[in-house]
Amino acid sequence: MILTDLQIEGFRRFASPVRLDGLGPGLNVLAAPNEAGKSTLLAALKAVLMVRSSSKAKPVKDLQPYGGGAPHVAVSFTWKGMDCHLEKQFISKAFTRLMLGSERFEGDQAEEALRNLLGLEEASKGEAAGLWSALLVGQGESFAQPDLNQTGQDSLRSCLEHGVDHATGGAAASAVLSRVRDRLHLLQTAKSGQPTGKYKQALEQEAQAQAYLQDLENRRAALEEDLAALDQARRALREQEDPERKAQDEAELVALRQLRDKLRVADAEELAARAALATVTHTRNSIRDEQERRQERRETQRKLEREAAEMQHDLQALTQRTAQARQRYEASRTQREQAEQQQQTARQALLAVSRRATVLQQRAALDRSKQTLHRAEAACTRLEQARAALAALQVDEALIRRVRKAVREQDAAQAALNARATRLTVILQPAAAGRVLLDGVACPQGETVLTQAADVQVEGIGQFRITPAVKDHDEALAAADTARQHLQSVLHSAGCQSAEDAETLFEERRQAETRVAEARAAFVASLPTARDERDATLFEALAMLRQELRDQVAALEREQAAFEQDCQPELTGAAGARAVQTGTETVCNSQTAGGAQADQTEATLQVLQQKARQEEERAARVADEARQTERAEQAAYNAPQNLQDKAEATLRQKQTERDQVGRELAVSAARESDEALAARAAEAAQAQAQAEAHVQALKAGRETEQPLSVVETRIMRREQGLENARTSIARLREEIKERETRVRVAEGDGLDEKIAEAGRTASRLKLDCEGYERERAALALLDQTLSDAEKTQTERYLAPLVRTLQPAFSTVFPGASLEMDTGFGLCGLTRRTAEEFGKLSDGTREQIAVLVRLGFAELLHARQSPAILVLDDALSFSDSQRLELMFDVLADAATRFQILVLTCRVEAFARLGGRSLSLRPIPQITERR
Amino acid sequence: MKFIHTSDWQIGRTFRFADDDTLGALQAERLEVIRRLGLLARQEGAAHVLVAGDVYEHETPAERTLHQPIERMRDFADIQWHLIPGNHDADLPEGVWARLARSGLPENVTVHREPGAVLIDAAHKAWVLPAVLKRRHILTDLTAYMDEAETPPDALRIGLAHGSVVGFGGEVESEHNPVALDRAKRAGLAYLALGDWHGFCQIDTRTIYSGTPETDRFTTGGGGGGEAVVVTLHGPRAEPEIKRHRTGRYTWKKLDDVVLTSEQDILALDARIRSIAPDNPGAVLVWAAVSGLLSVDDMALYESNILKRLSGAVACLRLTGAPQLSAGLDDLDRFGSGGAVRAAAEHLLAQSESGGAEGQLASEALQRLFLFWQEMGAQAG
Repeated sequence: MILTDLQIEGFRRFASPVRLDGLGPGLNVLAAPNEAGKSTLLAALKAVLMVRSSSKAKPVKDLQPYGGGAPHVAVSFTWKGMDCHLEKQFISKAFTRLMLGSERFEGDQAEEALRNLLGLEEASKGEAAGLWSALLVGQGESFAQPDLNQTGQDSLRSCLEHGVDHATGGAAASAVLSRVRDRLHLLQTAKSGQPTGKYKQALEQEAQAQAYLQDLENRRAALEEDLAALDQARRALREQEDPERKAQDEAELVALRQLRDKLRVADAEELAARAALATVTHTRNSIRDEQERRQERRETQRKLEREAAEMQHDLQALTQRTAQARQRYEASRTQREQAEQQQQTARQALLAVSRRATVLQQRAALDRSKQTLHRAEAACTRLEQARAALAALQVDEALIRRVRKAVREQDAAQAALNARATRLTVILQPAAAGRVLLDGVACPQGETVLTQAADVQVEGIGQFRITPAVKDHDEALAAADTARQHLQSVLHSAGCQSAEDAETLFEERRQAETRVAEARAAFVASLPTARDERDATLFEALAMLRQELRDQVAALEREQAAFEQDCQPELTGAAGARAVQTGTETVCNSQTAGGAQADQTEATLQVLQQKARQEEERAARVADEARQTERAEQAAYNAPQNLQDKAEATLRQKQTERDQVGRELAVSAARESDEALAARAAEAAQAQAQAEAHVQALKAGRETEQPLSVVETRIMRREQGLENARTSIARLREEIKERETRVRVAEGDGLDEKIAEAGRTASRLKLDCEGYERERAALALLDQTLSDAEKTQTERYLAPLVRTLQPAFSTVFPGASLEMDTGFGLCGLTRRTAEEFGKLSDGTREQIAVLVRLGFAELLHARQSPAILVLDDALSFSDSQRLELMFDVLADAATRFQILVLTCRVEAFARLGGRSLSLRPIPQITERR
Repeated sequence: MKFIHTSDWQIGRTFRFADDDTLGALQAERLEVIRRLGLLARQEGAAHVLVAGDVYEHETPAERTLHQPIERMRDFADIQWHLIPGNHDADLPEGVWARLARSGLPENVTVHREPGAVLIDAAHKAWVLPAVLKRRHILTDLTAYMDEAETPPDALRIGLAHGSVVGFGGEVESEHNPVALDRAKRAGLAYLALGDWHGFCQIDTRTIYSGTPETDRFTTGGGGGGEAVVVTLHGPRAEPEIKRHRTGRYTWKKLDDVVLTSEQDILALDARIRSIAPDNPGAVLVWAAVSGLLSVDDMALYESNILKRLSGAVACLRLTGAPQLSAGLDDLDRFGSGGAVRAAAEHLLAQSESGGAEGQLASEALQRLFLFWQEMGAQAG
C-alpha cells in the first residue's frame, strides 16, 4: 500500500482544505514546526482508515475545527498495483466512498469493503482497529510498545502461522487458560498463589475447628483431672478423718509433754548452779582485777615522779639560756636604734644640700628669664619704631594702584585724541628755521600732531590756519582733560607732584613694611611662649613674661627665706653639716657675687651633695646591718623561750597526773585495805571451786536423759502434724467441694459429645480442604502446563517475527538479542546481560518501540499484506548517534514499504533524506465521482 | 414372663462421614427408636424392657442428651425399664448415672448400679441380676457373682450384663469386661441379656446379644443391628422363647471393592444401590469403596450418574477411592492434531502414566482439561 495523495478539510486547525504534497513510495518526511498540523494530519488518516463516517463518538467530534464544520478527508493510494481512492465526511452529511480500481462502493458497503481490504475488525463503537493502530503511531505513542488488541494479535498470528507447520491453536489455548485461571483464582490469588475464596474460608474454618477441638479436649482433660483429683481428695479425707489414728497421735503427744516437763525442771536446776558458778567466778575476777589495778597505779606514780624531777632539772638550764639570749637581743635593739638615728641625721643633711642646690638652680633659671625678657622688650621697641616709620609713608598699595590707573587712563585719552588728530609734517630748509611759526612758536621739524586748530605762520609768507576735521574732536579733547585732571587729583591726595614721585614713595613704603616684618619676626622669636603671632597675643605674652619673672623672683625670695630659717639651727656637728653651712653661705651670697663665684659655689655644692649622699648611704647600710642583727638575736631568743614554755607546761601536766594517781590510790586504800582485799580473793577462789563441783555433779546426773530440745521438737512436730491434719481436712473438704462444683458445671456441657461433634466438623473441614487443595493443585498444574505449552508454541511461531526484527535491532543495538512475549511485546533485551524492557532508558525504549512497529510492518509486507508506517514526532529522546542508526534502519525499510515521518525537528531530520512533503492550501478537495 | 431385650442405644453418637442434615436425622432416629421399643413392648404385652448397657455414647453427655432417653421412657409409664451401665457410660463417681440419680428418675425407670439380685416381677418370681461396670474397662468378669447370688427357689433368674463373651469372638475388645461363655449355665440363669455387640448374636439358647435397635455402623457384625429381642420365659429351666423384631429405620450398607471399568459397571452400581431399599432409598446409607479405570465419556457418566444423581437419592453416599481416567492418544484428538492445548494434554497424559501422587495429579488435571474443552465446545456448539 502506498499513499499517493491526502487532502483534508474541516479538521481541527484545517478549517480550509489542504493537501499533503509530494507523497510517493519509500520514505516521506514532513518536517514542520510545532502546531503546523502534523498530528491533525495523522488523526485524519486514522479516521479515514479506521473510523466509520457515521460515527458520532467523541473522538470524531473532537476532530471538528473550532468553528464547527464537517471533517472531510480524501486519500488516494495504490494497493497491489491498483489505484484506489477513499473519501469520507464525518458529522454532517456523512458519507463514505471507496474506489478499488474500477470497483466503486458507497456508504456501509464501502466501509465493509475497506475493512476487508485492511483486515480491520470492529474494536469500539464505529472504530475499527487492528494492527493498523500499531502502524499509525501518534505523538507520544512511540514511547510505549504497541498495545495490540485481539484483532491486532490475530492479524499478526495469522501472518506468523502462515509459516508454522501446525496450527498453533493459540486462541483456543488462551481461552482454555483463561477458564482455568478463572477457576483457579477462585481458590488461590493470582499474584501470590495464596489460598482464597472458599478454600481460604475452609482453611480458616478448619483451623478454627481444630482450635475449638483442642480447647474442648483441654477442658476434657481438665475435667478428667478434676475427677481424678476428686477421687484422690475423697480418699485422703477418709484417711485423715480416721478417729483411731487421731486418738493414738494425741496419746503420744500427752506422754511427750510429761517428759518435757520433767526435763525442764532438771534443766532449771542446772541453770541455777551454772548461774551461781558464774557469779562466784565473776566476784573472784573482779577482786583480781582490783589488785592488778592498784599495782599498776603505784608503778605509774613512781614513773611520773621520776620524770618530773628530770624535767625540773632540764628547765633550769633552759631558763638560764633564755636570759642570756634576751640580753643579747636587747643590746642589738639599742644598736639598731642608734644606727637609725644616725641615718636620719644623714638624710636631713642630704636634704638640706639638695634644697640648696635647688635654690641655686632656680636662681639660674631666673637669670635666664630676665635675659629673655630683656631681649623681648628690645625687640618690641624696634618694632614700634619701624611701625612709626611705616605710618609716615602714605603711598600704599591701593594708592599707587589708583595713580597707575589714572596715568593709564590719561595715556589712553591722549592716544585716542592723537589718533583722531591731524598730522602736520614739516620739513624746513635749514634757512627757513625760525621763519615758520606754529601757533606762535617755531615750528618743529618733522611730524606734529594737531589736535586743535593751529595757526602756521610763515614768515614772509603769511599765516595758515589748520583746523583738524575731526568728528568727535571735542569729546576726545574733553576726555583727555578729564583724565589729566583725575590724575592730578590723585597725585594730590597722595601728596606727590608726579607719578614718578608716587612710585618712589611707594617703593620706600614697601621697604619700611619689610623692616616692620623683620622687627616683628624678631619680637616673635624673643617670645617663646606666644601661642600665635597676633599682636595682641604677642603683647600679652610679653606681659605674661614680665609677670612670670616677678613671680619667680618672689618665689625664690620666699624659698631662700624659708631655707635660711630651716637650715641655720641644724648646721652643727658633723662634716656634712659643715658642707651644708658653706653651701648655704654661698647660696645666700650669690646674689651679690659675680659669675665666677657662682660657678665655684655650684661645684662646691656638688661635692657637698656627693659627700652627703655617701654619708647617708653608709648610715643606711649600718642601720640595715643593725636591724638584721636584731632580727637574728630575736630569733635566737624566741627559740629557747618557746622550749622553756613547753617544758614548763609538760612539767605541770606530769605533776597533775602524779597527783591524780596518788589521789586514786589513797581513795582505794581508804575503801578497802590491800590486806582485806587479799583475804577476800582467797574466799572467792574457794567458793568458785565448790560451785564448779556442783555443776559437774548435776551434769553427770543428766547424761542418760534425752535432751529437752529433741523432745520439744518432737512435740512440736506432733502438734504440727495434728494441726496439719485439721487444716488438710478443711482444705480437702474445700477442694472436694470446689472440684465437685467444677465437675457439675463441666458435665452439663456434654464435653464428650461436643468433642465428638467438633471432631466430626474438623475432619469434614479437613476433607473439604483436601478436596480444595486437590482441585487447586490440579488446576495449578493445568495452568502451568497450558502456559508452558502456549509459550512453547508462541516461541515457535514468534521465531519469524524475531527473525524479522533482528536485523534492524542489530543495527541499532549491535550484539543484542531480543525476546518477545505472547502478546507480541518485547519483554527483554539481552546485550551482555538480560535487561527488562521497563528498566531501559526512555530513549532506548522509544527506539525499541519504533523498531517493533517497523518489524510488524516488515512482517505484513513479507506476507503481501498492506504495510505502511506513520511516525508522528517519534525518536525525540534519541541521541545523534542512535538517531543516525535509526535513520539507516528507516531508510532501509522504506525501500520495501512506504514510511511517513512527521517531525518538528527540521534540522535533525534533514539527514534522514527521503521525499520532502509539504502542506499546501487548495481551493477545495478534489472529489472523484 | 415376657420382656424386651435391647442394648447399645448409644444416645449422643455422632457420625463423622455424615453431613449435618444426615447427622441430625440419624441422631433423631436413635431417640425415636425408644418410642418404637415402648410400642413394641405394649404390642407384645411385655411389662419390662431390659437395656444391657451403653444407653449413652459418652461419659459426660450434655444435659439435654442426658435427659432425652429418660423422658422418652417416662412416656411409657406402663412399662418398666431396667438399665445398667456399659463401657461407654460406666458408673463412675461423677458419671451419667450419678447425675441422673441426683436429678431424680421416673418411677418406671430403674438404673441398676450395684450387683445383686433384684426382684422385678413378683408375680412371675422374676429376679434380675445386673453386672455393673464401675469403670470403662474391667479385666474381671462382673457376672461371676451371679453364680453365688441367692434367689428364692423357682425364681426366674435373668442376667443383665455388658461385655464380651470370652472365647467366642476373638476380637481385641474381648479382653475387657469379660463374660464367661457358660455364665448362664453356671449361674442358673433363665436368660442372660447381653449388650456390647451392635448386631444380634446368639451365643447359646440362653445367652444373647440383642444388638443396637437402630444401626449405627456400616460394619456391624452378627445380624447387622436395627432389631430388638422379645423374650418369653416359660419357667426357670425352660428354654426361653426368642423372637427378633426389626426396630431400625435406616439401612446401612457397605460395598467393598466396587471396580468400574465400563458404562455397564456404572449403571450396575447405580442399580445395586437403588435396589437396597427400592421403596425408600432415602433411608439408605451406602459406603462404597470405588476403583477402576474409566474412559473420558464414562468418567462424565460416573460424575453425572453416581456423584450427582445417586448422591441425592440416598440418605448418604460415602465413597472412598475414585475411578481413574483412562485416556489414550485417541482421546487427545479431541483437542485437534496440534496446538498448545493438545501439547499440554499430551504432557499431562505422559505425566499421569508415570503413576504416583504426581501422576494422579496430572490425571486429575487432564480430566479437567477434557471437561473445560467439552464445556467450551458445548458453548461454541
